[in-house]
Parts: sequence; C-alpha cells; structure tokens
Amino acid sequence: MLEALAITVGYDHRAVVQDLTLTLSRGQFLGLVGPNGSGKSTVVRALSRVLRPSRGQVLLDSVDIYRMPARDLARRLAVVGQDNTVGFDFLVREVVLMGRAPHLPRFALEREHDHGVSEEAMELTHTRAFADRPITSLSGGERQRCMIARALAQEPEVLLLDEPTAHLDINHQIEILDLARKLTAQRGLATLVVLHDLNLASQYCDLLALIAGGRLLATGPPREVVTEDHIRAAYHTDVQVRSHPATDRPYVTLLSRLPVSAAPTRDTRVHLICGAGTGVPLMHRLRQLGFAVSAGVLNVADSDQLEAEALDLPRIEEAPFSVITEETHRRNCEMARAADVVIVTGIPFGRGNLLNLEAAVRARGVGRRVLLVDDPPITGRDFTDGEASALQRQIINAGAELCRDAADALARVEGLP
Amino acid sequence: MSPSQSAARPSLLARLTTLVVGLTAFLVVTVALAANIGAQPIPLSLIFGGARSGAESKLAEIFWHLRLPRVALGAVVGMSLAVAGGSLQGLLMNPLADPYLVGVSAGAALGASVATVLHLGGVLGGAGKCVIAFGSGAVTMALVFWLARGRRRVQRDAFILAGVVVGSFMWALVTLVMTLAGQDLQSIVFWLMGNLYGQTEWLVVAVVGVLAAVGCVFLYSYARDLNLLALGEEQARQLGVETEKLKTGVILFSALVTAAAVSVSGVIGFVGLVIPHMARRLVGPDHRLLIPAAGLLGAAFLVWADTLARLIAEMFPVGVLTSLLGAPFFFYLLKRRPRPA
Repeated sequence: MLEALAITVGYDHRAVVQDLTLTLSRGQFLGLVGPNGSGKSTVVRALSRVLRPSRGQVLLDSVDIYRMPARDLARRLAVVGQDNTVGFDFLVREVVLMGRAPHLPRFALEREHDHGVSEEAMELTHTRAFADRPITSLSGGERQRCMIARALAQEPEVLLLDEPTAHLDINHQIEILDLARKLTAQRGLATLVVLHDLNLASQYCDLLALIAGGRLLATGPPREVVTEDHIRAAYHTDVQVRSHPATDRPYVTLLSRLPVSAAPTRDTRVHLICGAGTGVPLMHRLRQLGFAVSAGVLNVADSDQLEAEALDLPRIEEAPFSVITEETHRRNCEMARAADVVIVTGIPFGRGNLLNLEAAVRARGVGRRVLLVDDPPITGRDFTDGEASALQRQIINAGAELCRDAADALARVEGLP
Repeated sequence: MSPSQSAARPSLLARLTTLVVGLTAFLVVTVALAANIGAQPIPLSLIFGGARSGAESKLAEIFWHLRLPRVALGAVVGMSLAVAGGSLQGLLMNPLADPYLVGVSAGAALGASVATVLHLGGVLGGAGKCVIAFGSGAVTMALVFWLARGRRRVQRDAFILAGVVVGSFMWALVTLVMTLAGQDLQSIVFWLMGNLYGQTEWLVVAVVGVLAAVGCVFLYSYARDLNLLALGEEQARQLGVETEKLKTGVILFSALVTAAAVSVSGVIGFVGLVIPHMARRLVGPDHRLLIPAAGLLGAAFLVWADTLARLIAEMFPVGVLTSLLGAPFFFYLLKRRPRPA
C-alpha cells in the first residue's frame, strides 16, 4: 500500500502541492485528475522518490520511501512519465530490458529470465513487432507503449502512469487502460493513473482523486467526484454531467462559455413542442442566447424530457409511453399561449402525440409566431396516415414559418429582444 | 517465445567478448607494426628472438627504449581520451561532448606554458612540466565543478557552461603567457599542438598507464547507469540510479584520465570526440560495449596516427594529423547520419 501523508511538495521553495493525503491500495485503479498546473505530475514525482516533500511522508507498506535505497524502491514501483524521449538510438528490446536493471546487481548481465520477462511485457503491450527497431524511429504513441512495457518488465507492485494515453489513438488508449486495469486486478497491483480526459478516467477508474491548485478537492468513486460543482471549482468552467446510459458512469460534456444556468436575459419567451431528442440542441441554444424557454408535451423518460428536467425548464409532462390526454393538451396550449414564439421540432408523429401538433395550430390561431422545423421532412415521420402532414399544411397556410432545420429556426429568432 | 528466438541475437556477454578479443588483437598487431615502422625498420624476428649481434642489439635498444615507450604511451593516451569522451557524451547526452569540455585541457595547457616559461621543465627529473600540467588541470577541474554545482546538485547544462567559461578563461591566460614567452614560444606552441615526441621513459608510461587504467575502469563501472540515463534523469532515478553520484563520478574520472593524457601529450584533438562516434556505429549505444570499443579503437587510432606522424618527420606533432584526419571524417559521419541524434 502506497500512502502519501499530508505531503507538501514544491520547487525552489514554492509549494505546488499542499497538505495532500492519498492512499493507494493493492488492486486499486486510482485516477488522478485535475487541470494543468494543479500538481498531478508533482505528486507522481513525490511518490516515486524523485522530489522529496518538504513536509509529510510517503510510505510504501509503512516504510518511508525516502529512507530506503532508490534501487529497493525501483524493484517495487515503476513509473511511466510523460516525457518518453530517449537520448540514444537504443533498440526497443534494449529499452524494455532496462526495466530489469533494479533487479540486477551492478555488473550483472541480463539472463534468460530477464529476457523472458521483457518479451512478455512487449507481448502484453503489442510492441513485440518493434523489438529490433531503434526506439528513436517510433512515433510518440508507439514509444509510450514501449515505455509501459519497460515499466512492466520491472515487475512492480505499484504502477504510476503519468498521462499514459497522451499521444495515443483512441484504440490504443482503450488498449492501454484495459491492460493496466486487467494487470491491476490479476497481479494485485496498486495503480495510479494521471489522466487528462475526465471521461476516460470516469469510465476506467474505480476511484478518482481530483486535485486543483495543489490541494485535493475530492476523492471517491467517479459518481461522487465528477460533478458539475467539483468541475466548476477545479476548472472554473460550466459543464454538463450526465450518467452514461451504457456504463452508468458520469460523463462530461463541454458546453460553450455561455452558462446555461443563468437567468433569461431577453423578454421573448419560446415554447418548444418537441420530443425524442429533437429538442435538446434548441433547448440549449435558446437558453444560451438568453431566451426564456418552456417545453411540452413531453413523455416522462423521453430524452427531451430528461434534458428539460436537467435544465429545469417549465414544462408539461405526460406519463411515459402514454397517449397525450385532453387535460395535458389543454395545459400545453396554455403554456404555448403564454409564450411569444412556438417552435415545433422534427418530431415523429403518431396517434399518441398528434395533439402536440394540434397545440401549434391553436397557437397560430391566437396569433403567436410559429416555426416548424421540417428536418427530417414531415412525410418521413408521419405515422398517422397523413393527418400530421395535413395539420402541418394547415398551420403553414395560417401563416406559420417552415424552417429547413434547427439552425434556420434559430436564425429567425436570434434578432428578437 | 521460443528459446531459439532470444538466442538468435548473440548475448551481450558474447558480443563483449568478441569485441574485446578482436580489438585487442587489432591493437597488439598495431603496436607491433608501429614499433617496427620508422627510420630504422626493425624485423619482427628480432623482437621475439632477441638480439644476436651488436648491430642487432642496437636495433633492439631502439625498439624497446625509443619506439615502444612512445607507441605504448600513444595507446594509453588514445584509450584515455576516447573513454573519457565516450563517457561524457553518454552523461551529457550531447554528441559534441569531448574530454576537453571539462576545462581540464585548458588548465593543463596553462600549467605547461607557465612551466615552460619559468623553465621548470627540468624539475623532478625531467617530468616537471608533466606534473605541473597535471596539477593545474586538476585544479581547473575542481574549479569547474565548484562553479557548476548548484544546491546539492550538478546540473548538466550548468556543467557544460562552466566548462566552457573556465576553459575560455584559461585559454586566454595561455595566450597571455604566449605573448610574454619570447624565445620559449615555439616550445609552448609545439606542446599545444599535441605530440608524443620524446616520450621514451617507461616510468612515465607506467604512471600515466596506471592513472588511465584506474580511471577507465571506474568509468566502465558506470556503463549501465549511463545507459539508463538515456531515458532521462528523472526516469533513471526512478529505476534506482543515483544520478548525483553518477554525474560526479563520471566527471571526476573523465577529468582524471584526460589530465593524465594531456599532461604528457599536449592537446591532441578529435580523438575524444570522433572515436566514440565510430565505436557507437560499430557496436551500438550500449555503454557496456561502447566504452571498451572506444578505448581499444582510440588506442589503435592514435598509434596509427603517431606512426604516420613519425614517418613524415620524427618531430611531427600527431595532434595536427588527428585534426586533419578527424575533421573531414566527422563531416563524413554527419553526412551519413540517417536520422538526427
């Protein structure tokens, strides 16, 4: 078990990391995340006996690592750093073999066993094909995998990976993280991975530690660490955090600089008649532009409903998978009447939600400006034997505007006060 | 992975053995031939058979007390410079590093120049100039080291800068001494050019030989650490290398062998710079092979260069030849280079 106890670490009398306590146990796959300059690499250096903390201790199985010889630690702890340049054109095979150095006495040459361990390490990282090539001839990502092989050749108990996915293609990123996680489980390693990508970290790590400004902001499972509040505190930016349907882990979506949570800045109110995910982009864009937005009728658990709920928009909801009732329809019409502009998105229409289009008719009837986003065209999403298309024609004849797509609709309302 | 696959490439030990045996044989042949060549050709039968007549014993005298000491010293100097150069290139990870970077040569040059001007050459049974040169070289090295040593650490970049700064200053002083030298100027210049002329004392060979041997053995002990250093200083530390001791040790012993070499031969250029590159092309960047290869090649190279110099004229400075040969050869190496260092 590797522990950092209240360590303060820095360079030239300037503390970069302050009073940080972190524990890494066997079998744990811990992700260290945080903005640039927050001290992630400094923590790795402190944990690997490269940069001594001015305060606090780093213990490996209760022994202070700064009181043991460097070689002893190197036999149990391996680090893959961010910088993977090699000064001379050693062959990949030779570089991976360097990982055996801590296990060999000063003048001993590598033996069969050492070659075997290196070969296996190269096999695991899919770098065997490069074995006899000079490492300087490889791409950044290929070199990184070789360095990981070198670390594995050390047969460590603790593995510290500082941004191991930095230069890798997505397939290799997944490969490396899968490998690291598998080895952690199989061999009972204690692994700490510094990752830039919050989503990768959230998906792969059982535990996360979020560091900002040299201090630990949060530790725990991804669900508890990756939250909009924590990210705002650490990165000073607003993002959207949702639970990924496939993995049940939080995933972060970057939004533009305009915060969605701000109060409306314009007087115009827009009512969105949407569903099936067609409304999400417009909800965001309209809110970002400062409009007051409402939505209806949305069936509960529909993706537009979930988004509207997350954005806390005034809305009319119907039970999941249910036909829109007269009562719900009436309330929808009321809400549409309260707005200045009504936008109908490219929803597929069936008997169950045809009343939504009816609401647009009513809105036009009382003189509200109505925009119909015809993307995809109504003919492809009319499951009502032509009734929806007929209603659409009716609304257009009554003066509604037909828009090519959502962007077109936005362009038409952008200038409104 | 079948056992035959890992055996397909000869083991490091096998390669090292082949290398050492091969190059040593080459060196021995070189030395034998070199001692043979000269104004008076000496038949090999004489060397192995012993003198059988007065005329032959005179030739034997020339061989054992005139030629061989000089050739042996050439081998020792060549080995020292090449090993020091190779070690420093490994430590500083700079292909342009050479043993003179430490500033030792400049210091030794100053010592030798001052000794010449003050006519101290006769002191200590003729070895006065050498001893003074060695001493001033050592002092200069200490100065560079002190300058480069930051807060408990030796920064590699600071070290190169300190060596350049101190070296420049020393050379400026040498120039000053030269302007004040008067009649002794020629003697100083001759020393500076780098030559093995007049080296006939077996004692000198022995002393320098021991110093060089000790230094080179210590430098060789750092071979694996130098390999690991290629991954970066931080990474090397994480692999258990005590980088501060490594830096201190390599710099110290390089300076030692360089000072020993320069004190007897003056400033012979290009051996320390080019031979390690040649060796690297031959055996690769692994210092466990590179350092012995560089040492043996350096020894052989300087013996050949000095033999050529002797053929031109008994007093011809070998340093002139090494520079004349070395520069175009280095140029050729650069041109051939398939990829940057």
